[in-house]
Amino acid sequence: MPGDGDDLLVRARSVLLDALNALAEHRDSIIVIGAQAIYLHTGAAPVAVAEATKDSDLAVDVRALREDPLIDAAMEQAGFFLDPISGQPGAWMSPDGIPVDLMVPEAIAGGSSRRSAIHPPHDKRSMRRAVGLEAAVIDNVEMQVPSLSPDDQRSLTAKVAGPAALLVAKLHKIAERRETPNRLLDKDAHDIYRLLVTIGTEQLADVLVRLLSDDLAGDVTTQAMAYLQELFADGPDALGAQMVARAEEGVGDPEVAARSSAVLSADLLTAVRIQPPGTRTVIR
Amino acid sequence: MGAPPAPLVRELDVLTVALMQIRRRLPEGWRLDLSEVPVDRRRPDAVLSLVPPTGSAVTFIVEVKRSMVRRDLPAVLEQLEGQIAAISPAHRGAAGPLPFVVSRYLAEPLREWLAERGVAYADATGNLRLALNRPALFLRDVGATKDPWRGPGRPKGNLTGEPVARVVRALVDFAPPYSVPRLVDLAGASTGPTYRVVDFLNEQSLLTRPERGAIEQVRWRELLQRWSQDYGFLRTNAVTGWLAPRGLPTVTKALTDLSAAQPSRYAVTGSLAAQTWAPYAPARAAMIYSDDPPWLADRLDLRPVDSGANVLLAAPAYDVVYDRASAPNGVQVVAPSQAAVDLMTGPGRNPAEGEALLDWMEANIDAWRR
Repeated sequence: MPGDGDDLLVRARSVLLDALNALAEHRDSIIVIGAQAIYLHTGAAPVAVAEATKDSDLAVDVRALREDPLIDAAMEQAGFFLDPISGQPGAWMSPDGIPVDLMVPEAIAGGSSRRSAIHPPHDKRSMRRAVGLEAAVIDNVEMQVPSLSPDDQRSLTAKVAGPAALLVAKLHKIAERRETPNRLLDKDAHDIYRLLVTIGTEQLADVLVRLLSDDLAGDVTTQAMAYLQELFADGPDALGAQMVARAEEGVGDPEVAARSSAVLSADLLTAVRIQPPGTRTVIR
Repeated sequence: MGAPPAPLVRELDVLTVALMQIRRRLPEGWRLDLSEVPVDRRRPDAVLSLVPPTGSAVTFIVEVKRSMVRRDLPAVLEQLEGQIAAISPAHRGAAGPLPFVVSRYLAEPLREWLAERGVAYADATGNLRLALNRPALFLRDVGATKDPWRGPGRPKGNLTGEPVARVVRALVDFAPPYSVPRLVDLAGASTGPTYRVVDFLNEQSLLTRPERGAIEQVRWRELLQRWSQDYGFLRTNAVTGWLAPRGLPTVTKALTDLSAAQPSRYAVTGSLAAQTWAPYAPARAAMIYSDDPPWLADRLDLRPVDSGANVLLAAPAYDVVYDRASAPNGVQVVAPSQAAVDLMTGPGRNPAEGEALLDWMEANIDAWRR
């Protein structure tokens, strides 16, 4: 629906560019993830549900993160502030209240905090730890990230997580929220469907096989393949496929979308399993 | 039964014949007259006065309907009772007024229903029942046991079968005038069936053809609409449902990639075909004719599904569906006339798309009619 949704998408992209600018000195360690990254890959996907997000999600590869400038100082200098309501580490907001999340993959998040990524000298409140982002620091590609507003000519080069890594991250997000259904967002499942429809099965499978045997991303990718089976490939009645159906209600064809997400997931798992030996075995 | 019964289209004709049936069976000295009774508000269809040889007359308030089904009866009776209640006591007579139901034909369940309630009835075939205590009179007779106005009495013929499909498609696709032999050539049909179809369409006023002359005019839109009553995309052809998991654009792309020298014919119809001429709304499902649906499904990476299909593959009942197909964008597409009749008889919002396509065809006749 044009109007508010489009406007929010434009503003979210503008804030993403502001955040990338603020962290320009750390460019090599910052990877765009989440819905905006998915839309950068999927373009005009033949699905009924419009692109929509207000969030900018950034993964931080702290393995080579410079000490200077400090993340919190750089963000604050650009006008960002930590969301005082959620109190979550890494939950930044633009001056006009658009969220930007800075997250560090759990496997490299350091320390023993429950929520904060511990990477001195950076403030422990500046970045949050999150499971499932490990694949994004392995599978990413430099892309042009253009503004979506005709009044804004900016276009920045940034690392953007690849489709396989984005799939792994979204699967972890849905699986993590399974136990608290009110936090489940149907749109997250629909973003997975968008990836599955747009990106070729072989292309996804090739990268997933590489991720499965990766020291850093192997475990979360293995787990994600199990989630893909349970949430989608088990059939159109599986939780994820049903979330896709709900997202299509009123605008698309729920049953076709649910079945398609299930079929494409099953195809992908088959393609991953028949890769040559030497790769890790997928759970199930 | 011999000659078809008189049509009895008007209610007055129905009533006249039914009264005649009753009068024929009345005992000597009785009369049955149409009469006038002042009515306050709701005027009944008729008021009858049954006059015995001696004593007072009985008044009936009559409801006449050309045809009636069982579920109509409670409302009919309620209406009659309302009309009776509205008549002033001064005009009610000795024992009445009483309700009376008249129709062209009353099937047995309706007669039973009325008899159980003591309601007088009569139909134009001679079914009638009239039971009175004062004056004492019991009349009952059985006429037809089947509705003579149904079935064989209706216009003969329909528009099913391959010759019909060939002739109708040609009549729509080619602008007249042309002779019937020329139509035989254009349609690729046999001579006998073509004449029969033309005669039938002439009787239905769907085309104009003077006695033994050339076809001068075809009401092609009405002809397609009439054909769609006897033809159905889903019921005439062998249709199977499939899922294209990456959506319809991949289907179109894969069709483009099929070379012209494929061993098996196909042609896109329905919404996807209509979009070639008259964009309506994004197509939700593809409808594709194919001589070999499993082969085509394999080439298009389709999965068989019982429900949630977005591709319907149809093995055509008649290969006329491929006639005058074209490939405007590298994809074989049926002619507009075929797409229109398939949409009119297709699932979901297809019928509305069919009307939109007919509108486009009307506005752009030179773009498609030869």
